[in-house]
Amino acid sequence: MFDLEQAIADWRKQMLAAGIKTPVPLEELESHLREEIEREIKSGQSEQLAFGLAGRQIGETHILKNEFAMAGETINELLKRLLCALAGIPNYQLATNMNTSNSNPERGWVTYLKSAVWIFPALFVWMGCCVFVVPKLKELSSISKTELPQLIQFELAVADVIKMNFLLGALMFLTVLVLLEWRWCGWSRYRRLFFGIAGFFLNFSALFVLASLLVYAVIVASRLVQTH
Amino acid sequence: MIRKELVAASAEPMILALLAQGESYGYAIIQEIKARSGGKLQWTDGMLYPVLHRMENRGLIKARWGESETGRKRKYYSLKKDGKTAMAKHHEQWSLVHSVLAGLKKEQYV
Repeated sequence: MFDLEQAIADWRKQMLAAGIKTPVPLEELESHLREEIEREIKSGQSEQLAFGLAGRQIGETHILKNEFAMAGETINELLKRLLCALAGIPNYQLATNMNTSNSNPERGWVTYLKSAVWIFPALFVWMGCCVFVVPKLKELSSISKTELPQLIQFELAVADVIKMNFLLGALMFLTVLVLLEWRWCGWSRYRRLFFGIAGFFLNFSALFVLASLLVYAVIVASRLVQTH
Repeated sequence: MIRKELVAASAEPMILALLAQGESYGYAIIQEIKARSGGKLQWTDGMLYPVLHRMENRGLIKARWGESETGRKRKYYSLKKDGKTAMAKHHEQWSLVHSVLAGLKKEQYV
């Protein structure tokens, strides 16, 4: 007895074995196969014959594989995908193409909330570091009579600039966000990507500063131990 | 039957022109082309999808997943701004080819 679902499952396996491994083309081809089978059955063919005819109509797997390979990603698309993966947004194409007309399934407030949760811990630790660790480190540095390395000096200077202009910067950032939400209809499409990338760089910077301060603290501490 | 080189060359302008009428999906595109050409333009069904993906990668069309009336998943394609520009260019070029051929044919009977 011919089992149509089993035959379609076998057809999928054949396609996978032939190298059509990415989910989107395979899903699309299967949907097409099912439509053609349905049409053949309606025109009076048996399930088995309908499946055979539809499969033939789709084409040979090795030719399809070559065609899909030729239709592969452009360099721009590849770079975009790599950047998104780096920012912690895997398969952004799949996520943004599903059932939506504005190409972004996520609501604005969800993106803002997620970004805040994603950025807050690193920001909190960095602020704590500025208040408690940096003064102590400066004190240790003066006791051990070692000058702060240029990298640490640069990090502290950047931190000072941010602290002094924090309110102004935050206000400008919020104004730009409000303007983007209000005036640019394409913003909803790039919102998630923007916050993903911004979050990644902020977190990376905060962790880098923390790590460098820690390394410097260890070096100064060992010097102090040696002198005493 | 129309030669396969011509079928391949005409695929993109025809898809663009068809999508200019509204969004559609692979199976419907093939059926529409088949019907409009009286069955003379035969595409191997599976070959349409690499072409669609290539056009999507080039930013001519965009896609979204939707559902058919029976609940089956379908990927719908629609035209983007660049697609409209590309369609106008194709139209201009094909019209030129057509007018040259028509002119030459006319001269044969003068």
